[in-house]
Amino acid sequence: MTSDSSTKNKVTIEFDDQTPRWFMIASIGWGVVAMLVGVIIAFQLNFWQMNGKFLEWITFGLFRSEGVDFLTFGRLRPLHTNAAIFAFVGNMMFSGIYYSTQRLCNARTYSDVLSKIHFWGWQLIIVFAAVTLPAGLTRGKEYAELIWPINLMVVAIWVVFALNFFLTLKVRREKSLYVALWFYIATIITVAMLYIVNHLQIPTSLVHSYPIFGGVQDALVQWWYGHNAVAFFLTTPILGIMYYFMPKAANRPVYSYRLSIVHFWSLVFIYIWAGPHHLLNTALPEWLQHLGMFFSLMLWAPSWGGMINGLLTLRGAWDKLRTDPVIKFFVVAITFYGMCTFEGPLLSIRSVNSLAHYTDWIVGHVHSGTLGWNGFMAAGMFYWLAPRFWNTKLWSVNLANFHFWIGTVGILLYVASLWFAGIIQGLMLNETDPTGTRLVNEFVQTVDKIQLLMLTRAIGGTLYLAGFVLLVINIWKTAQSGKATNETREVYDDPEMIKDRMAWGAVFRNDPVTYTFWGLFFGILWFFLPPGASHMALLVTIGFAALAVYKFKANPGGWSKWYDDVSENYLPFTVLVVIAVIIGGVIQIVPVVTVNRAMNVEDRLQKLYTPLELAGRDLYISEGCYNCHSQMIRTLVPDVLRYGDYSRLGESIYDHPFQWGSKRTGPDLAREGGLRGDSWHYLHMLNPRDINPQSRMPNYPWLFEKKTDFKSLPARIAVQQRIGVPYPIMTPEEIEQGAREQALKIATGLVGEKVRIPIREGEKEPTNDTEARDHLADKQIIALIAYLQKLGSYDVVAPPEKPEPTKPRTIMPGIPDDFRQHTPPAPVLPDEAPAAPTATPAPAN
Amino acid sequence: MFRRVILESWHEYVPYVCFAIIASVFLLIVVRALFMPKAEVQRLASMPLRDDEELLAGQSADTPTNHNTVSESDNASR
Repeated sequence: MTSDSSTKNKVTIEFDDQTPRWFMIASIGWGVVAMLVGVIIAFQLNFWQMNGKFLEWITFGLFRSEGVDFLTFGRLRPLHTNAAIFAFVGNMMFSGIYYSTQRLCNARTYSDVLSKIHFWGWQLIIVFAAVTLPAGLTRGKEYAELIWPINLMVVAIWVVFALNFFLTLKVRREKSLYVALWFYIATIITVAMLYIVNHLQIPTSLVHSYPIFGGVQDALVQWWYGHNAVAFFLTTPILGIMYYFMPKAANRPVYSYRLSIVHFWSLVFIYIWAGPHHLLNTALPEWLQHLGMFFSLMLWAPSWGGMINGLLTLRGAWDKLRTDPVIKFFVVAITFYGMCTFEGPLLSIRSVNSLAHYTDWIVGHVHSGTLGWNGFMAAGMFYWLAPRFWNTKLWSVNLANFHFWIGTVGILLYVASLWFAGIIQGLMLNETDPTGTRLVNEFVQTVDKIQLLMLTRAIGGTLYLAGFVLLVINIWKTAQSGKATNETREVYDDPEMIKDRMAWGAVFRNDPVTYTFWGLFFGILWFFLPPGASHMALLVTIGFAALAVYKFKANPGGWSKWYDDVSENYLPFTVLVVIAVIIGGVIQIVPVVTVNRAMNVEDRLQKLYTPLELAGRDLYISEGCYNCHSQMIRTLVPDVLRYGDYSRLGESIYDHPFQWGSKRTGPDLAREGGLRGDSWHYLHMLNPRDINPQSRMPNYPWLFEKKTDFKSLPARIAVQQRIGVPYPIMTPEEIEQGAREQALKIATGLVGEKVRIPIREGEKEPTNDTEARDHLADKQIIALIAYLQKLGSYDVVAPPEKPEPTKPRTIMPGIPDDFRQHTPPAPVLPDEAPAAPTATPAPAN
Repeated sequence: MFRRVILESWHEYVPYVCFAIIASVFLLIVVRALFMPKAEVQRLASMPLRDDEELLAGQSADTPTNHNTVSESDNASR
């Protein structure tokens, strides 16, 4: 260390490039796995034999099976999504964050130990996920499928990451925080908040739990999480990476730093509100649907601002687009970001959503984001980083260019085919005859119609994977041609640099905060206070606004200084981000959690599952049936004509987790109960082609071999009671006995219908009906049939006392349901229940 | 047909209240970004490029840098 002046010391720092290098290698490795599984499941949607039967062919009959449980679409699809999001993009994001944060802070990462714990802990989580998900161990919530012990590991490792990141900010040698760091801060804070809330659950065993939220509450929390996982895991960190690596690759500063500030704050404030757009036209309260649509449309502006900012960073250097593969990948990635963020708000318009939701259009939209935006940003960043990590040149620019073209063609084939498939299927499903009272197409006809497009999609995905394999070769060869290095940099260590000195008092006790807070407070009171008091609140609001203008005019510099200080002090800045992201969640979730309870339900209330039906439901979730079947009949005429009366909010109020679904590869099952006989379901699960030759659904032979876990039912019901499902008090013996009796009843009926009973090799074949019944009764298929036959059953709730007439759209609404605080109907089990109204038959599934 | 579980009259206002809040924040940020001093904007925008020698020559960064590498094997022998 040498002294440069009286106050500044010149120091040489060595960056920890090993951590981002390792994360990059992990991202590439897991990326191949994620994409390979994606290609497999894409082919499964074309050829049902890809669910395990194909093993017979490739082993020339040595391995015989009609289907393999851990290879079915329902189990592999969560593996694909989790691997793509958390393993591929997650590791890529950590690589970019560790690399750029050190450079932007002019400081080595705070702790090498924490970096190593973060790296190895994250990889261990991924390995656990890769084992548990195909094993059918899942929570049944999209992108949140991992079981509770792994959830705890994720939280612990995320805390390690956050600690390492924030401590690096603390020891930085740079006064200001570049905008990329803002995006990283928002990522860390928001993902933590989303993950914790959506994973609140009570375990029933080491590998199983029930979420504390149920029905509509669970739906809202899930999509608040699911949407913002896209926003704050797949978007904000990658935008931070864009704001760092695009200027580096283009060798010029970002086009407009001002625009990047607007981009950041707009995204952070708006994105968090948009989750309900995943639940449009469902039983979700309408004000939440409006909110989701409204804020999704608002996202157009900041997203396109960001895209323009990224692309125009190339101003004056567009010639690089011809020669530099890194720039090619970045430009196409940012373009896909723009296209995707145009398409997202479009799909959030309720009328567009009524066509697109539950179809492949949504899958195409998601993949234009992950393959185009995330995948190509990752490729560009890896090609830029690899020569620097190994202090050499990229092994082959031509190969990188070839990767670019094969990948681009792959994405276009993939996305375009799913656009067409989604729109065609949506139009066909909604098509009615001229009277408007009869559907024209059966569900399976719509699946058949898009078969060629589904095949094109699988080919597109294969091309994209092939391109990525070229990246693996190129990076491998690049690494071999060089030597792993850490960059060093000489910087001035200025002990007199003023940074992070803002006191908490200065953060909160100042004019901008005071007048904004009280102005908003009285503004909100104006909405909710009774007449008279509300006018007073309005007057006070106006008074505060006038006073704020006066104060601002007297000292305009003071207001902007507060913001400047906050943006250069990482802890107050983080608090500001927390406030920004928490508002949206609180306003959406708290009313639903507190108001939408069974006690407030009118119209219909879900019947409780019997113990056997609950076991069947857990199997339904474990097999990932929700990946293809929804349980939500939307408030749309074609949905009602096809599946029966629209789903009421109270009809899934006890569902932990909810199973409304997000994609209909098969028909909706919300009112499946009682539509068909037990033997229909039995034969359908054994081989769907026996029922419908065009079906793409896998066979489920193991459900006819594996036994239902009756012993775990008491623990499961105890947890259901704890989370608010009003089961009557039952002893463990009563629970097991009840389940076994119901199973025997179903098995007796099936044996009476002379169904074929699959017998394993070496197993004794039943010789009479009693043996056949006993053989079947404890099999998983019986529990699953029990559950399917319960779907759509409800009790009619007595109408509440008529509320006193109120003025329409009054601004003094009071508590919304204070007149409906009546005692909920006593829970009844099926044997005791009066006959429920029959669900409207679905004419054309 | 579209009856809901709860009476939603006050909830109908929520999107508008939220929009007003977020629009206010958006406007404030736009105004703040537009009125930021040009020199400050340039300084912040060039932060990722500080280690590039040719760009360093043209700016008055408070943290001049010198760029080099150390191999991991060298590192291990130290």
